[in-house]
Amino acid sequence: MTTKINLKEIERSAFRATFSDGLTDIFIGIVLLIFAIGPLLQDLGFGDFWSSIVFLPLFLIAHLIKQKIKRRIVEPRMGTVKFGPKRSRKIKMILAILSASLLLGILLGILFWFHNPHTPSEWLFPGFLSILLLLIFSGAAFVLDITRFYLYAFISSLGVISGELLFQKGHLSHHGYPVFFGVTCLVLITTGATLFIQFFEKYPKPNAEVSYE
Amino acid sequence: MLKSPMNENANGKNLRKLSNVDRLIHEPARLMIMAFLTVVEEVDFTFLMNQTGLTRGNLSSHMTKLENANYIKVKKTFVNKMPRTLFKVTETGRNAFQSYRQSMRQLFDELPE
Repeated sequence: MTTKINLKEIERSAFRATFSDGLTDIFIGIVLLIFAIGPLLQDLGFGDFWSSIVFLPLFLIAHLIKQKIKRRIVEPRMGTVKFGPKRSRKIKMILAILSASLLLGILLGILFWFHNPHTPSEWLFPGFLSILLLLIFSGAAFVLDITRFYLYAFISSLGVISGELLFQKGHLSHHGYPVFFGVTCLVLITTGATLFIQFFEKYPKPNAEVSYE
Repeated sequence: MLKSPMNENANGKNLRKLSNVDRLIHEPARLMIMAFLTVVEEVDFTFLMNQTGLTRGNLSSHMTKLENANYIKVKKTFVNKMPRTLFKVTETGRNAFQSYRQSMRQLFDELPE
């Protein structure tokens, strides 16, 4: 039997290992809560602006908790690694492409709005959001080399379209966002939580100080 | 087919080249460590231990040998009152690993089937 040793694959698998704790999945799941709960807040009297802005402190708290867990629980078990400039360059390049796509999308949306101010398609926003979610998750899957993010891309973008479809047929309220984003959110948080439990089994807490004499 | 003395001599020379490889890197565990260190910028002891699957004592002993040869640079820090040891491959180490790769590739290319 021959095994081909591939240095690039060694680096990729080490990079993937840093996301095996599931914390990123849980955090993104919490971020997606805005689409699930936001529309319901509007029923309570919050406007468009306030029903979105109310989540910002929640994101900040979730981010701080994630960082704390990473530092206090994950790093002592898994250790830390710093990747080379090639990896950083790749991430920066993809982030730039994603930002450019986002800006282009907004620009096209505005242009479309100005040309058809009285007949905005009811599919414009869901279509845009669906493509945006597909791009963001697929981009993240490609850059971070995490296959499960493609599944998130598929679920979230399909969720927006299906939600709108069922809303137009009168089966769901709020464009179906609470149901479909709720499901996406649940998938992400459950996956993240499962990975976090698996992480504890794979990386037990070192008995003594792990150091190098 | 008869073997010519010239061919046997060439094969012998190629075979003896095997003993000239960098023994410090050639050892499987250290080869694994060096391969990993060349693809990342910096790594701590725990991460390296998890990736290589080596025990603490074993890894520590290999790292000492690599450090003594100036193949790696060791930096000791404290995080949350816990010691953290960081490793980085040096230019000498990187060059040694590259020449090891080249000599092994050349060696196996030259050896007869």
